[in-house]
Amino acid sequence: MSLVEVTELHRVFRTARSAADVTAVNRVSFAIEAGEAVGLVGESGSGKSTIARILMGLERADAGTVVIDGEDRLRRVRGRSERLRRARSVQMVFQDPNGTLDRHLTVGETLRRALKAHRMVDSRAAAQARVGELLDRVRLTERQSRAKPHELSGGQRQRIAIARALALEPRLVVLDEAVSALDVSVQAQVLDLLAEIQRDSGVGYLFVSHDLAVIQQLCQRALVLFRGAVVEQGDVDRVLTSPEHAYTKLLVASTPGPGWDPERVVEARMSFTQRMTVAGEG
Amino acid sequence: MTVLLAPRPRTRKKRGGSWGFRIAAGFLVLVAAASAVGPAVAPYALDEIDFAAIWSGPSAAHLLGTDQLGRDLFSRLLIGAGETLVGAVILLVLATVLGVAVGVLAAWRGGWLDAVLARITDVMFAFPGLLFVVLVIAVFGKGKWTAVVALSLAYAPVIAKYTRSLALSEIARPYIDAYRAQGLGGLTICLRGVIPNLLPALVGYLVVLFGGVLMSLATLSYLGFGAQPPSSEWGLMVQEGQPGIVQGHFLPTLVPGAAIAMVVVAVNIVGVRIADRLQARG
Amino acid sequence: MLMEIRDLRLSFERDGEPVEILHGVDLEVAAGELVGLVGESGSGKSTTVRAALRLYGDEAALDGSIRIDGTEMIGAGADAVRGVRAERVALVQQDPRAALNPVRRIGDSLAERLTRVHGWTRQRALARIVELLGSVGISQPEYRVRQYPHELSGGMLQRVVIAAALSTDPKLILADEATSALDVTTQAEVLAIFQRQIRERGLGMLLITHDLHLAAATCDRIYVLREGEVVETLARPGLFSEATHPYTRTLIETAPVMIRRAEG
Repeated sequence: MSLVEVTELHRVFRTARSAADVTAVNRVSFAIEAGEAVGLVGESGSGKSTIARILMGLERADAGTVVIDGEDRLRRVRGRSERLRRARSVQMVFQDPNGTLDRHLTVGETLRRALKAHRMVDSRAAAQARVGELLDRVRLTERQSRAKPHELSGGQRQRIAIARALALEPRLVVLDEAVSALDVSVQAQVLDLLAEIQRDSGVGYLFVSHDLAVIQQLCQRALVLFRGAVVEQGDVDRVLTSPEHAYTKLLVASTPGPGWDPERVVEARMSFTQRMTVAGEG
Repeated sequence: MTVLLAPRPRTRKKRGGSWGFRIAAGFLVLVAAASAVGPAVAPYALDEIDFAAIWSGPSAAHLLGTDQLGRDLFSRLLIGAGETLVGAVILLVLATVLGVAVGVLAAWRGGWLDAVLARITDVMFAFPGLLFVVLVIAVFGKGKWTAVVALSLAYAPVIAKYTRSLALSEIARPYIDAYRAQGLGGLTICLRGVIPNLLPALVGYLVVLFGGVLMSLATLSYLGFGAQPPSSEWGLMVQEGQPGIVQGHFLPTLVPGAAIAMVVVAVNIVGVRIADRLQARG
Repeated sequence: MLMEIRDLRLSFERDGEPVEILHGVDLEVAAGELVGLVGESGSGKSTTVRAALRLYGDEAALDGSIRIDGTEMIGAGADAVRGVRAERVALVQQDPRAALNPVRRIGDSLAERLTRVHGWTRQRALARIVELLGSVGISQPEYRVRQYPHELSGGMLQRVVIAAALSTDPKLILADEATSALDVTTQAEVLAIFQRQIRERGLGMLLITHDLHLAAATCDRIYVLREGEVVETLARPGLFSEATHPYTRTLIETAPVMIRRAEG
């Protein structure tokens, strides 16, 4: 049994005016094995963030099933203990390092409270020790734990956000564009860190991003989303070096790199638009 | 992510008026002391009538002169300080507790609850505050405490509206989602996440509001709906001093009136500074 | 030479002390060139561009030389600066929604520049705008001019902003992270538009970005900016093998690049 099994997940956002409803997630199905890093690739409007939030329980679904660790996650939560238990299996790291931490607490306190809320430590000393371990894990110091978020850099805040996610010892961490707002050199450090954490702890990742290069570096499998539907999935190197679907080809063609020519992308887009109209999906 | 170094806006060279702050703060300390020990240190009693000395100007015996009944204005001022200010503070606290509860609840739950509360608030706004208070008093009778309760009900919607918009922007930040992802319940998140973070902005707002609150309470006493004679609540003092003005005796009205104005100004100066400090740290 | 910046120094006053942000920046852009200015956040790339357009007031102390199409910008009078901004250079920034007035129709916003500053008739201005919108790849331009900004997607809106930039026939375009907020496919298309416009009109363009690979793939020359100074200048061929400065090498090595088949 896979760690995560998503079947025919569907979500439509209804707009107030008579304007068309938006199908954010269109009958999406996929699975994530324990310890696997899966990339969810797409541009804006692809539905990738919505899928991530549905998995986290921050967004509801209109149809379909989401089973994580054998539990039906779309069923309404009954009571506090069930809510807390669900939090222990999946955690999330958000995109914006600016709002991701509670500003009025020191980062150490943020971690402590997460541990306490789940009764993961039974004494102040144990909390202190565990917080120290978490900080170590994300390569931050005890001195930094006494800082408030605004005193830390974007990269450091994201690392605390990762530590916060790991504090509850989840089996899956959902990273929603978690490195997109970081400088390139900082991004590299955080990606390194994520890879190391995965190697050491066997935690699974659902990495949501628009950046193909980052997905290729961190993930083993990739799902390509276009307008809420999965258009291609498979081994990440295969998908990115031998894309089959016209949209994946367009994405690959659009990614800057050596020998890249934007005007060829325009051609790729035109052939893609043709394909989509022919297939009736446009 | 480009961080554009924002040049400091052209500020005048003076050091933020720190001498003004010190004077205002010192004045408030004096007023607070008067509130606490006024009755004990006042040279004369509250209702010590002396027909031989009516409407006398400042002298060694009467520092600020006397009113139409020969009562010492300085003593009345000292003794009335507590009543005036404690009333205003309690009023503000009541209004804040009610307003914040309603505002945060509306922001958190949204939907129909928000709509209902918004409509109730709008009705309260549409109704002239003073009229509402007079109505309450007509039903429950005149008196200082009735005035305090009535005014706190009148001010609560104002605070609720402001709190709601502060709370809405707070709730939109990712750290709130992070708390939800940790399995914390709505009440916990509001109490430990939302409210502490909106406090700095709220305090700044309340400080400015305090001036208005003080004035409203004094106005009620002036109109005869609040404190009753022989109290020397400052608003009541202003009213009692009025008949003397046509005869050229200004002090009985001027002294309490100036005291009210000075307290309002001092609270603004000190409070705004405190609010700025809180903002910077938060 | 369309833009020549020599030994540009800029300082702000913070808490009474002058803080130098730019420590002698040198760069140039010629007609027909797409030049990249690459740096991480805080490197001073946006500051350089804003200084060039004299967008800072008295709070910034400028030193050195900034020549745009022959006009020295530092120390120039307000009229001269306005003239350069109105006719010689155009700025495209990251967020198109911040560049357009949300309560005005797109056609009105774009026409205003032409009618007010250049004295065109409204008819002539609108005709030109429709033509420009078409040239930047917007479909049904006659219909779009009557729409409001919120009715268009981010990518389309950025094209509108580019059309607005081109409307005054500038010789130089400054693009400050102009594609950073766009989807990767839209980014590619916008860059194609830039490249074509440069070819067809003989424009010069300065592309400011944090994305080294983007700059490497599209620019004729790249200046690498770090903490207020240019640490390296790279010419197009062999961009990666040519880089010698350790900072540039770090940027190259840490920026993830997608490995693809030779045919792409």
